[in-house]
Amino acid sequence: MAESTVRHLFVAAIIGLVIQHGLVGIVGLYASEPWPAIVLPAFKDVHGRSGVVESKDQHIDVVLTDGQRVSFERPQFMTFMPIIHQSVFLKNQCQPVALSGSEHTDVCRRPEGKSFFLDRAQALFPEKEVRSVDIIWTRLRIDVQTRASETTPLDTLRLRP
Amino acid sequence: MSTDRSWFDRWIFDSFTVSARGLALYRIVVALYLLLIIAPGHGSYANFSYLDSVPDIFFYPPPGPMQLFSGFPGFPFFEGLLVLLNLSLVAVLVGYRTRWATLATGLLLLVGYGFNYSLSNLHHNIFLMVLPLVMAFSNWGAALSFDARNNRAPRQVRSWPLVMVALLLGYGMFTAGVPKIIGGWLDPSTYAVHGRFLREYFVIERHDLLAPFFIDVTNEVLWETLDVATVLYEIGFLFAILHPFTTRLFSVFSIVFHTAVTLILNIAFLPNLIVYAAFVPWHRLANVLPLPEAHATVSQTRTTLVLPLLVLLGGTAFFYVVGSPLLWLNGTTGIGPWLEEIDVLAIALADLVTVVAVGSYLWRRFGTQKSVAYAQS
Repeated sequence: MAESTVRHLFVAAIIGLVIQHGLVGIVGLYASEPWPAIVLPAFKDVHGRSGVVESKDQHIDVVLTDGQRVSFERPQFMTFMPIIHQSVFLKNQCQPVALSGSEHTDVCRRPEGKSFFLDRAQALFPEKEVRSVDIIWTRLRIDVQTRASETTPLDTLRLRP
Repeated sequence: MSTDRSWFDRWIFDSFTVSARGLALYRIVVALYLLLIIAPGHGSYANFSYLDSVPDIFFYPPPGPMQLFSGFPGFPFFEGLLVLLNLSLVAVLVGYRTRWATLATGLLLLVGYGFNYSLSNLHHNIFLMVLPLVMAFSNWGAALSFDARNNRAPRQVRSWPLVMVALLLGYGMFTAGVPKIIGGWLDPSTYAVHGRFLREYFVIERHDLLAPFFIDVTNEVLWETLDVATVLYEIGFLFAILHPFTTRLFSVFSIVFHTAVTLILNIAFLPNLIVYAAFVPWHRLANVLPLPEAHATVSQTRTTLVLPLLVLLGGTAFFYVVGSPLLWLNGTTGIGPWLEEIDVLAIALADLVTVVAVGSYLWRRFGTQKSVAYAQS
């Protein structure tokens, strides 16, 4: 590659990166972060010095027709997906609309989504019949000093056949 | 080095010294890192096959070219992609059609991760793809390769791809640093690293390595210093790339940063480690290792097609079917599930390379001067 071509390539890259910076910011306001893009994780959130950690959490209950309810931690039930994806997947696709404030977060309720989760639950209990899969959203509150934790139910996304 | 060049030209073309054998060493290290640590199809970093079982209703592509697709392809697509990815990586390792194999590696990773991130969670490992796509133009197949044995690779190696990698990396760091400033990381009344650590510890339950020791560290000056240092490091990287010394210095800071994040927050960010390794002066290492000449002489027998073919097929079959033997370490020490033994191994290797590189620099800079002074006295 000729030196002049390489020089032009660098100029184009520098201009492109500046344009990308603006685009990522603008697109990010209305949708999610574009991909592929030259972006590294920001982790921009900061915390006050309240000594309390709060977070939304989820776990999954499988309810059987005999009335039995079996609770699963997220990684135990969602073995079909790498652990690193699970929480954000549930947040974007299996969160009650009332909780997220967005109309697009309960994709799980659509027939294909319901079948997907119910089939997985049925595979865990082949001898029994599944009545519903409940994706239970809670608020976890932990006092850093005492390590005491408090879980408050927020909402449930119920998937029925 | 020409003195009548502009500053811009000197930066692009003269910043880094490279040699065919030095670049070849780095090429081999990159290929081994991807095959053994990232382990396409086997490890947790480049696992795409599970997507074929996910209904298209969950296809949620980020803004960009993935929106041209309407769903996840089937099992044969992902398995084919993994076969090709392993094939291209083995070809990069042994230097067969190196430039094309390197470009193919970058493109195949882009496609695989494109679908992976269409499930609603995007990870910032873009440099795993940027690195091969840029380094393909360095001619890193000019030595220690089948291409060199067959005199197929051009002999001239280029250093500007290293500067391009540095430019993109510096900018990438800047994109991480600016939101932190806007978000309030420099405000002494808030805490960011400590807040993140508490969240990772209590909510995600990352309790490995040094996390249990740091949970009782409440020194506000220490945590605030970490906030400020992180921002300065990320913003400073963009300016550091203007000189090879500072590029290397900030790459060392990066390894220290990732080591600390792994030890304390239990978050291993492996994709960038191999990018920082680009700035190791591999040409110096190549000079002291007993490596073969960069190119075969004309009188040497050209390697027939049979040997490369056997190596490529054998290597691809091994890494596609068996995978990285290093993955067998996972689950042996009881850490996890958020951190795996292979993460710790990768960080430890990066630390080892850093210590050797820094030690070698310090010895050249100060040790030899001392020896000369001693001899003169």
